[in-house]
Amino acid sequence: MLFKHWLVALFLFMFAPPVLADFSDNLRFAIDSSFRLNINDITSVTSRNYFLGMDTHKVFNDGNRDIGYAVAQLYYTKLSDQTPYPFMFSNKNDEQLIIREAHYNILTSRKSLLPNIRLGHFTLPFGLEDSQDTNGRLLDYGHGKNLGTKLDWGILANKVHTNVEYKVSYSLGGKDDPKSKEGSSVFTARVSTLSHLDFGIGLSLYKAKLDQKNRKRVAFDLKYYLYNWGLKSEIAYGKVDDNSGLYWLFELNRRTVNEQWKVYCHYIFDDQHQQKQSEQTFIAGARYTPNNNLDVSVQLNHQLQHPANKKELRLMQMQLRHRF
Amino acid sequence: MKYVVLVLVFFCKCGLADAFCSLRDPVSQINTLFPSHERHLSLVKKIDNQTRQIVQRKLPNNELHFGELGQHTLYVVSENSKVVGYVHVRSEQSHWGLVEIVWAIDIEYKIIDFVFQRCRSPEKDKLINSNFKSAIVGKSFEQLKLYLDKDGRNGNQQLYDQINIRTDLVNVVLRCALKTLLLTEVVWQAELNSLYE
Repeated sequence: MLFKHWLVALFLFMFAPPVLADFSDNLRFAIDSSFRLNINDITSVTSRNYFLGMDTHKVFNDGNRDIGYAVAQLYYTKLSDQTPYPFMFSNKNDEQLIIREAHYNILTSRKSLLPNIRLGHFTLPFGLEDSQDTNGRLLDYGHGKNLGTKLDWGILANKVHTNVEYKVSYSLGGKDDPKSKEGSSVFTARVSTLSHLDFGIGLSLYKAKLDQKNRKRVAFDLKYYLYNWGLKSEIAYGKVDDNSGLYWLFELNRRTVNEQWKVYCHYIFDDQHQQKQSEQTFIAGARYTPNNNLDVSVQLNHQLQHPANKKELRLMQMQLRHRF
Repeated sequence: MKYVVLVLVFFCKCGLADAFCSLRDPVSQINTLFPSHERHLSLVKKIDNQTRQIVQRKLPNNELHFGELGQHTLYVVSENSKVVGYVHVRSEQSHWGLVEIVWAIDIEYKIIDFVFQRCRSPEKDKLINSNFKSAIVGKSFEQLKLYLDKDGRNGNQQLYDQINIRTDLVNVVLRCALKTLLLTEVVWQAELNSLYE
């Protein structure tokens, strides 16, 4: 299985575009290592995660214009006493080679009405995560929990216009596996105002058959930055089979003037009507980046209310990350 | 295995604390700065400590923020199969965090125009509506440097006599313009020259 992943990633990265220039031109390459400590205050279990990988980005051109770019991220990931463990692992101490983002992006010409096309393993374009990438960070907008998977193999169309940008994707629903499983498929779309603006809104749609469940979700998100403060919110309504649910995330963040420190807090309300259960969670986090290489993060996750049939969660996480 | 590690280290040119999948081209800003352009070509180059020393020598009292080091992109913009200018995004520290400015530069390394990509200063709209832009458009690095005060960081009386605004954001944008023109020449000039050969 891993061998097949390697081949697909290698194919996307190396052979899909007509490479004319020297391969190291316009290439970004980093070795990304991190150590994460998770302290569960309820179960008194402390788990650890180790990540060591390569992160690459390369722009391809035909000598006159950019014709595409590729992103490839391959990580050795080791769990230690992690419960529950993510779907791609087979036990709480497992280790795996994990492909995160791995895609090639065909860029159409500026005046073409045709969209740019992304092929490969990508983050589903939905909600706040689409405008702020959280790859490899403690900060998280709940993609995996809310959509069933954060990344999937498929095709994505996108374009940035004068006032709006959009992404529409169809993926196979195999999550880390580039194939459909038991009829799985995922359709995701997001249209938003330009992502670099201080005020932005977005509308996202999601329809999937994943893990033999029918999922639907619609979300509205907004972000607003004022001085060194940032405010973000996402409100979503969705169904998993016949269970409908309402979800609301609110974030307040602040950066220091030199941007070395960022602190944030989340309030998350997750209500599932049919099961008569709701969760309320408060998360507080801080990130310190003294330079381009080092990143120290800490996050506290405290459940204010939890469903009767689930264990309460109180989690403290710390992460040390180094990129060079 | 040690050779694999050596090759990996050789290629390491990291310059971004976040994963590379977070990189976004300033597509809409290029469209605003060059409305009738047909295409752009990316040139990715490294801004390292050697470049930092050149900046300190040519622009005393000016430091590069750690986010300004590492690999950065210059976009070569073409229209009717002819290069009409370059676009470069540069950030400058201000009282309200980093200000990110998208600069349009002509092929003689003079300012054509600029737009804010990110600016959380309450003085942004005032600056946009002032005549500050007309004071710096068409200026080269050496010409813009004449607007710098003796402290090397703020605009001087010669600049403020020409414009109808007096705010610290003027100094931020001026420093950013100077760094952009300097870095474009120092880092990209050799490759840009090869485009015309």
